This record gives sequence, structure tokens and C-alpha cells, in this order.
Amino acid sequence: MKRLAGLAPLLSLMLPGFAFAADLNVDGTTLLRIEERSAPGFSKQTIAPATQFLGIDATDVGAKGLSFHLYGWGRADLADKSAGDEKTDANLTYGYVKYRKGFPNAALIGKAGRFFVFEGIINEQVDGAQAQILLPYGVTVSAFGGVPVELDRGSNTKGDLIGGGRLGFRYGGIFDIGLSGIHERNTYLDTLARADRQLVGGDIWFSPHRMVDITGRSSYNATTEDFAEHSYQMNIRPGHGLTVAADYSDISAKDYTTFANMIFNTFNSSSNDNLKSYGGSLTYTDLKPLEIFVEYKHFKRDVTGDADRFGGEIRAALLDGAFMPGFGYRRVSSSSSGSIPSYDQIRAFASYVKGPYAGSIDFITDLYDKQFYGTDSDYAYELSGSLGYRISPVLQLSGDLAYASNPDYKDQVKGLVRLTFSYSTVKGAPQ
Amino acid sequence: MKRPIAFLCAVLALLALTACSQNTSPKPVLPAVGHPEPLPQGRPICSDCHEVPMKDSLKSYAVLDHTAAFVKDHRYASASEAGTCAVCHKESFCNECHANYVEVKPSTLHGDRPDRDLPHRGDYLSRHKVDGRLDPASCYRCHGRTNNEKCVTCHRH
Repeated sequence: MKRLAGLAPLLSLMLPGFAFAADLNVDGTTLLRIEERSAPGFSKQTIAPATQFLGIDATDVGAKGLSFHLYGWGRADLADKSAGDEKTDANLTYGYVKYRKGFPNAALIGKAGRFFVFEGIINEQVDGAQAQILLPYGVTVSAFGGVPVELDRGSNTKGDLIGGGRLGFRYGGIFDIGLSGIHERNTYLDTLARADRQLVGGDIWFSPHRMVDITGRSSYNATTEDFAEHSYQMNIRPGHGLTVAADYSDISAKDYTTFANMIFNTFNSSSNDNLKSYGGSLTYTDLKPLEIFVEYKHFKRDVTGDADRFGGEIRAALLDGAFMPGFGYRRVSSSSSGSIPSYDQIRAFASYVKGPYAGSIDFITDLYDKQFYGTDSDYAYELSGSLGYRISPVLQLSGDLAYASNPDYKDQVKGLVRLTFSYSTVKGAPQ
Repeated sequence: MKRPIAFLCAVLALLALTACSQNTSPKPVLPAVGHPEPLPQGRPICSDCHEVPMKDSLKSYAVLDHTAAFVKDHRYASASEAGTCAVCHKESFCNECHANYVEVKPSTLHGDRPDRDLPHRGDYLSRHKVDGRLDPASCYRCHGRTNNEKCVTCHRH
């Protein structure tokens, strides 16, 4: 929270700059949810949380190339507590200043504040700084450092300091490879003991032919000294609108989930469980206005046995895209005796836009082959509908209503009112 | 409880009646789009128009075609083409799902967009028991070290 407070002076310093910003985007979504929860054996609960999401993006703030970005939310419970122990909560997802300076055939990008790093095998939220240099001949170098952002529930969820980076090289639309790594000092190992979290790995995109590309990543846990993940995908595009994809993944649970920061590692990192999966999919988009997708995936897990997931989806964009219906079916078929129940999933949806009005309906159901984990129920479903009205080009009001039943909650009635605000000084601003 | 639900039903019914009385041309559901040219409704297929490769990486735009397969496995493309993603998407677009602490399920936040493939749609409280056993690695990516405040409510033992 202290670090969050530290961002307040930064924001106040930036505020006058907004007046001179070349481009300013402000987005907000207000949600008022109303839910009635009923679980067998527990008293009924009524929750009514009001949440405000806010996003600000300002470019060329005071100086060319200097920008400011912020996104977060705050919530107040108007009835029973909706989550956690408090009736109010807030989170700053990111808030940082960024500077970009371009040179002939090169660029320098710097960030400071709270931000996410998604690069190569890196997936971190940090309070700190990052520098990225784009060099000639497709070379990129990036590095970051700072303090990992902890979870609200306690101080034992992340390490003291974190640093990392990626070295990348791309060539002529044929390959794009990178080496990346992180080092988090003194983080919690299963929340009981502490150790340094060290992860290194490589990522690749390789296209030996314009119709084929192979992409993926491998990561090595330098703390446990073994490979954590190999995940690769091959895409073949034999003709316009047709994509055939095949994927393979091999994960060592112990090495992949060692640093799960949950009380008693739910992901069972102490076991020698191995998770393998492979499968494929086919997408066809050239049968306008239809889009067809079919998929198959086989899961092989040491602890629970084998399972298959297969199915598909068909969707359409009719009336110039004003009416978009879709239908999907998937089945999970398990060979395990009870630990993974087999089930069918059916989904149907449609959305319709007419002038300033929008409406949609969505139905999804899971039909289990037998009663679900000792309950008296073998199904779950949710039916929801939404209606919206565009009050002005920057303001939209919508409301959702849903009824659901599942093995855990017999009857759920959920309502939601949503007010979306989107202001931009830029025509065609990012959404 | 009955009163707010009744009020909500009345508002929705009023909106429905008003909508039915209108007869204007369809317009996009979303406000301003980042793409320089207006995009058709539905998932954009970049290679429908972009025949030349991307400027920086020289990859074909087909690698960014927003097919169902792409939406499922966009992590590969986003990790190396973030700059191109940013032409159409603000960073918050990613962080509605990928964050340290997500307030509501993305499918609730965007309950008015059933056409979008969003995680945990429908009943996920029950279904996560199946998916968690089937492929815990897919849970770990988002909930292993982040966004697991709600998980630990039950997963204490």
C-alpha cells in the first residue's frame, strides 16, 4: 500500500502535463452487480458490489515521446461482502511513465512505475523500471528491475527484489528467437521456506515457408535445476482463411509450480507429476459469413490418467455484422475412474445491434456423465441476457441478467448494470 | 433483494421495448477502434486486407488473424508482437484477464459480448474442479503466483 501511495505524487506531477498532452484517452466502466447466492447448507447471501474501473493513456505529455498510462479499479460492497474480509477494495493494475526515443534504424524505450512484463518466458508485475533497446539488424535487448508486486492477502507472496530481461534476434520474417530469464530474490517456496526464484528459457518463431510457422518456448527452473516447460505450436495455412494448428506441451509439475505462492501448494509441486498434452485444430474463415472451428486435445497426466477434449464451434456475422449467432459443442472424455468426470458442454449465443441499441443472449450448460463429485447434481447451466443503449458516442449503458444452477450453487440470480465511458482525443484510438 | 432485481428487470424491459421501436442502421457496439480503418463486426482477420508483411518483424499478418485458435493461443504472438497488438489494443485490454488481482471474471465484465472468447464463462465454480485436474498448468499460468486471492478462500489444505 505504501508503494501505491508512492505513485500518488507521480500522478499529481503528471496531471498538469495532461493539459498539454497531444493525445488523451480516458476509459471508465462502472459496474453495479446484484447477486443472490444460495449454497446447500449455508444461508442465502446477497451481494451488491459497485466497482469503478478507470484507465488513462496520455501521450506526448510535456515532451515528445513521453507518455503516461494508468489502469485500476475500486470497489465498495453495498450489501454482504462480495470477496475477502473487507467491504471495500482497490487495485492499481499499472501506472507508469514511458519514454520512447527513435533513431535511424533503432529506438530506446524506458518505463518507470508499476507495469507488467510479458516477454519471452517472463510474466511479471513489477514496481520498478525497464529499458528496451531496438538495434539495427533485428537485435533487441531489454532489462527490468524492481520489487515484485505482492498480493493483498499477506506479505509472504513474493520475493524482495526481481530483475530480468530478454535478448532477441529476428531476421527477415524467417525467424524470431529470444533468450530470457528472471531472478527473484528471497521469495517464498510453497510459502513455508524461502529461496531465490530463477528461471531461464528460450522462445522461438520460425517460418521455413510462408504457409508454415512454428512457435513456442522452453523454460528451465534454475532453482530446481530441471526443465519446467516445453510448449510448441505449428500453424499451417495452406490457403486463405484456412489454418491448421498442431500443439505439444510437456510440463514437469514440480519444476513449473515450485514457487506457487498459495498456502499448501494447490498445484502439488512436491509430486513428480508430469503433464503432457498434444492436439490440433482447424479454423476456416473463408465461408463468409460463417467461421468454423474444430479442435482436439489429448491430456496425459501421471496422477489422474488420460483424457481427451474435442469439439467445435460455428459462428456467423449476419446483417452486416449486426446479428452474430454462434453454437459450440465440446466433450471431455476421461479414462480416469472418478477423478476427472466426463461431460458434454453445449453453448449457444447471439448478439444483435440496432442503431444505439444492443442486445445479446447466452446459454451454456455442462452435462456430466454421472453425479458431480458426490453431489446430487449432474449438470450446470447459466442463461444470461444483456441489453444496452448508447447514450452518446462516448457513453454506453447496459444491463445483464442471469440465472444459473450448478452442483455448488443451486439457484443463482445475478444482475448487473454497466456504464461504459470512453473518451479520446484521437480518432481511431486503441480499444 | 427482490426490489433491486425487479428494478433491473424493469430497466431491461424498458430498453427492450425501446429497442424494438427503433429502426436505424446497425453501428458498431464498441466505441472508437484503434485500427485506422473501420473493422467489420466479429473477429478481425488481418490477412483479409494486409497482404504485405508487418513492417518491423516482416512476419505475415496471418500470424495475427483473430481466429478461434489464435484467441486460445495468443500468448505466443503477444510475447513477440506486443507493438503490433498495441495498434488496436490498449494495455488494459490485456490486463482485464492478465493481472495480479482481477476484480470480476472477464466474462462478467463483458457480459454484453458473448461473441468474445473469455475465460471461465458460465458456471466455473464447479467446472474448475474438472479443469484443475485435467490441466493444472493452464490454471497455474494465471493463478499460480498472481490473482489467487479468491483461490485461497477454499484452497487452504
